[in-house]
Order: sequence, then C-alpha cells, then structure tokens
Amino acid sequence: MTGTGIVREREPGITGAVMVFVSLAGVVCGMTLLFLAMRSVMEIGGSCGSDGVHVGVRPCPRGIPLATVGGILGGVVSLMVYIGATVKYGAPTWVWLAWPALFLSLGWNFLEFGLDPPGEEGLVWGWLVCGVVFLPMGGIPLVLAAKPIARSILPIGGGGPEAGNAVSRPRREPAVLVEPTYDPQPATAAPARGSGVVEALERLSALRESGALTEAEFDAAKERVLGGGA
Amino acid sequence: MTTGWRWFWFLLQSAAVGTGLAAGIRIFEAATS
Repeated sequence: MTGTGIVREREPGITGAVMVFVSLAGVVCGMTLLFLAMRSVMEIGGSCGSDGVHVGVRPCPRGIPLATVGGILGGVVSLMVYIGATVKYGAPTWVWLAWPALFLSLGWNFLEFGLDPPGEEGLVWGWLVCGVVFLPMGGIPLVLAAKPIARSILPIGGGGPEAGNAVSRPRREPAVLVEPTYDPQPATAAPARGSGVVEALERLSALRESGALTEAEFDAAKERVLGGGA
Repeated sequence: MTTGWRWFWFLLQSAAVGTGLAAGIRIFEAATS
C-alpha cells in the first residue's frame, strides 16, 4: 500500500512466473506419476516387490518403484516450492486443490479396481473400503470450501484486492486501504473536508468498478468515510 | 489484485497443470516401457 491509499500491483517478474509455473507443474506431475503407478500395481493384484527379500511377492512392473518414489518425493518438494513461490510473488494459490486432487484420484483407483478387479470375480472389499474412505476425504473439503477456493482460483466473480489468496490470507480491513485518502485536512477546515469525502467516495467507487473492492468492502469503507466526514 | 493479473495467474497456472499432467504421463510411459 502506498501513502495515497492505493494498492500497488506487485509484479512477479519472469522469475516469479517461472517458479510458480514449474513448481505447480511438478506437483501435478508427481500426482500423475503416483496415480498411474498405483494403477499399475493394482493391475497385478495390489502389491509387488523388487528387492529380492520379499519371497513370493510378485515382482513390480518395470519402472514402478521409481515412478512411485519419484512421484511422492517430487510432488512434496514441488508443493513446498509452490507454496513459497505463491506467497513470495503474490500469486493466487491453487494449493487447496492438492488435497482433494490426491484423495479423489487415489480413491477413484480404489473404487474402480475394487468394483472390477482385474482377473478376479466379485468385489475386493479392502479396496472398496479404502475408496469409500478416500473419496469423502477429498470430496467433502472440496465441497465445503468450494466458494473460497473458486474465489481464489477463478479470475472472474467477486474478487477483492486479496481475492487471489482468499483462503490463505486474512482479508485486510477495507478502511486500511482508504483511510489515508479521505481525511487529509484538519478537522477545522469544514469545506475542504467535505471535498475530501467526495474524493474518497469517488476513489472507492472507482476501486469497486475495477473489481479491487467487493461490494461488502465498498459498503464498509463508505460507512467509515461518511462517518468520519459527519 | 486487478482483473488483468488474476487472468495472468489463472492462465499461467492452468498451463502449469496441463504441462504437469502431460509430463507425468510421458515420464511414466518412459519409465515403464
């Protein structure tokens, strides 16, 4: 915020954009690897071993241990970098989708293979139970937090100045944004103060039009301006 | 955050998700083939 009460846009620069892009791509890449590796193991019965110690266990398909471990480690490290990058460069965070994406995708695997196990008749109850647990674990938080998540992610709709991080950061009081702008004159200068109020209202209106202020923030700030000018 | 910047981040992160998915599939295919 500047001295005139205008929120100055923080430009991420090429480094910020690249950091956010690469780290988010890394998170998604890790989850995709884990999802596909899990399916490969479930195709052969749900377990495998490649260390030569677990005798009698089916050997893992080629590349699966690497894909699994690489997917988990790469995904976690990328997630850390992504969180840091979004905070540092002021990007709207998509991190709240990571948990639902993980549990819904793995839950889907459990449900699909539990209902129709490859090479087997009937159901696999162990997998079905996991699916029934995983799907709500991912789905319920997604539904409950749908509104703030959508506000954080989508570029349209009622986004305020901090809408990009609506879930992760507490919203600032609207008065903090405009307070320095509407009362620059001493209390004795009544006519000048009146014009200050008009100016402040005009600025608030412009901020609302540009989408920088939500309707609620605009109303709250207007009340303060009018209260201060009375 | 202005609408322009919100669109910028939205498009950038959408592209990142698409890239991550494509990369994950390609890496998996390469590792398991």
